[in-house]
Amino acid sequence: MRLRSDDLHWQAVEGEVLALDARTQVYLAVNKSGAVLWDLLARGTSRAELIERLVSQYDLAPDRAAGDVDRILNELSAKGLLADAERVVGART
Amino acid sequence: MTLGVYGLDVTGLPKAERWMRTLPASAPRLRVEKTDSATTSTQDSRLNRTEADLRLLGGGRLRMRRGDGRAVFTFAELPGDDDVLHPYLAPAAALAQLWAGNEALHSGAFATPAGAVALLAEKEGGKSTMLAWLSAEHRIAVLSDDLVVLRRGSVLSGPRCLDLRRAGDLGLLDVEAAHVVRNRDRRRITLPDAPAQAPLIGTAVLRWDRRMRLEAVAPADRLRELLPHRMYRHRVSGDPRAILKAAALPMVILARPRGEAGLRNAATALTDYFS
Repeated sequence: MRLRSDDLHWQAVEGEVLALDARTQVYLAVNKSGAVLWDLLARGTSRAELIERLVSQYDLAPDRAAGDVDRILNELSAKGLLADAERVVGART
Repeated sequence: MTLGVYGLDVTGLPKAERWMRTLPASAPRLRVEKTDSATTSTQDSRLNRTEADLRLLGGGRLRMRRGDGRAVFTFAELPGDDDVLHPYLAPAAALAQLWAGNEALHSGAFATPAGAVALLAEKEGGKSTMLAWLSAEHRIAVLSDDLVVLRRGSVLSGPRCLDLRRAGDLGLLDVEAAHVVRNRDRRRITLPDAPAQAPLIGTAVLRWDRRMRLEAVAPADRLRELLPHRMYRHRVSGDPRAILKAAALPMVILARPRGEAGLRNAATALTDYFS
C-alpha cells in the first residue's frame, strides 16, 4: 500500500506531517507517531511492516500496534489518500 | 526594467503608475483593458483552469484566459486607473499568478529585515489599519494590503497604497496625505517604497478580543488558518507546496481590543515577535 502520488502534497513540520489534498482541499495533520507510518506509506509498504515499525519504535504490544495501524489506514482510505485502497480494505479484513 | 505590481509587468493603467514599482524586464506582462457597458452582466462567476469570467464586488466583470496576458474589465461606470489598480487588479493578478503555478492569498504582508510576514484577518478584521500603523509608526515596509502572491517562497510587492474605511480607522492615524476614494467610502494612503519581494518568514492571524494576547499556533492548526484565505482554492490549483511551506513557518494569533491602545500594543508585540 502507498499514499496517492498525484495531487497529494505534504510537509514535515516539527516531527509532524501536514498534508493537503489538492483535489478536495482536505487537509490532514499527522502526529509524530503517525508521521513514522507516513514515511513508510509514502514509499510503499505493507500492513505488517507498519505494525512492526510501531512495535519496534514505541515498544507497543502487536495487538495494540495493529489497532493503531488499522485506525490510521481507515482514516487515510476514507479520505481517499491511498493509491490502492482496495488492498488496504482486504488487508484489514 | 519595467513597472508593475504583484510581480507582473502591468500595462494599460498609465495614470496609476505612481502606485507601481520597478520590476525586472523579465516580469510576465499583464495588459489591463477596461471598457464601459451600460448592461454589465450579472451572471454568476465562472472560473476554471483556463478561463475566468468573474463578477466583481461593487459591480463590473473581469474576463481572462490563461496564457493570454490580458485582464479585460467591464464596468457600468468606468473607474479611474488608480481604482482599477487597487482594488480591482487583485483578482486579475491572483489568477495570472495562480495559472502560472504560484500561490495567492487574500492577505496583507509587511517586511521586516528578516523577511515578509503575512497578515491574515477576516473581513473588517483590522488588517489594513494594522498595516497603515506599522508603516506610519514603525517605519515598516508594507508589501501588500489585499493580496499576497507567493512565488518560490517569497511575497511579491503590491500597489504602493492602501485604503482605510472612513468610519473607525481614520481617527487612529495621521492621514493628512490621504484622499477620498471608492465613492467616498474610503481614504487612500500612499505607502513608501518596499522591496519587490521578500522571503516569507511567518504569518500572523488578527482577531478582535477584549484583551491582547499573542499565541503561537501549533503546526497541526496552521492549515486551518491558512486555507480559507487561499484565493479561488476550489477551482484553481495554484501551488499547494507553497501553502505547506508557509504552514511550516512560525504562525501567531494576535488578538487585541479595538481602539488605539489595542492597535499600538498589538503592533509592538507583532514587530517584537518577528524581529
